[in-house]
Amino acid sequence: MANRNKHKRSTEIHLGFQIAPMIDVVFVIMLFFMVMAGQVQKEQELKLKLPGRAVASEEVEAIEETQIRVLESGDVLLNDEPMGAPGDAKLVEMTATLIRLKQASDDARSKVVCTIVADELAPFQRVVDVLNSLSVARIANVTFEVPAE
Amino acid sequence: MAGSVGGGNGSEPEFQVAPMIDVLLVLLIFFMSITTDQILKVDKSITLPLAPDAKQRKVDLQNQAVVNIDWLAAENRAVVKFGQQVCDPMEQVAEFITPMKTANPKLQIIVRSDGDTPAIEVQKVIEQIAAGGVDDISLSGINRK
Repeated sequence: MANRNKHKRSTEIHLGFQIAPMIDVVFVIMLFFMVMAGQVQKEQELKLKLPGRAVASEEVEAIEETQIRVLESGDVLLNDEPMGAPGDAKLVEMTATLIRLKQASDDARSKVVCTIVADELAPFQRVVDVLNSLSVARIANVTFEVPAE
Repeated sequence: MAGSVGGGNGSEPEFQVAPMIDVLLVLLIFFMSITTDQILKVDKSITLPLAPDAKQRKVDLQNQAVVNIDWLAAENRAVVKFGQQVCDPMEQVAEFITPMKTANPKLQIIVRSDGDTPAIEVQKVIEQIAAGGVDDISLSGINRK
């Protein structure tokens, strides 16, 4: 009889809650989410200012406009100077020039106004590359136009 | 006590459910907050252009409206949607925007377009937005591919 009880006890399954594997799983889930949080695609914005009409109460100083052309081929010209080949998504040279331009304008207490003039068939991605470069240079007065060919 | 680990009075360590739920809820709220509700607006057929240095978009559902431009390369045409409504002809964009702008002068329009869309199609949409009386326009991009 005593032997049977012993046998019964040894085959009994312990259904108690195990905290160690629970913590293991929670940490694995937490690490997964922490790693994935860095990979999340976020939507960002690039502001445009449309040219409009305004009545000035005082005489307005003329501001020099910077023109950036985006060609159908993907080439980018800053005031007719080539500044970016089609493969140059970061537009390194143009960004550096724009940063210098912005600093010079800030020192002279004047505004930088940029107009992006794109060819009709220029890819939108290239226009956004230019806007991204302007964003790095902290140039906010940007307009966009596509002249009729 | 031969098989027990750790000190104490030898009693079984009890699992506390309440702090566990506390921790899990904090984690849940943290991940919900970083995910943001902008995902609701994503039209998966649009591949936004890459703009890693742009500012993160502030979600202000009351003062924002979205115009989606879906470029169908095979058909060589763009499908313009104001929110979920297809605008054909494109002049309907201005028709949708005008009353909204009258009701809400702070209205901002977000243009979401495929990276492959020709610039002229985006320009046409911007013209319609301007015709609707809105001058606060943002172009959308994504931070990473």
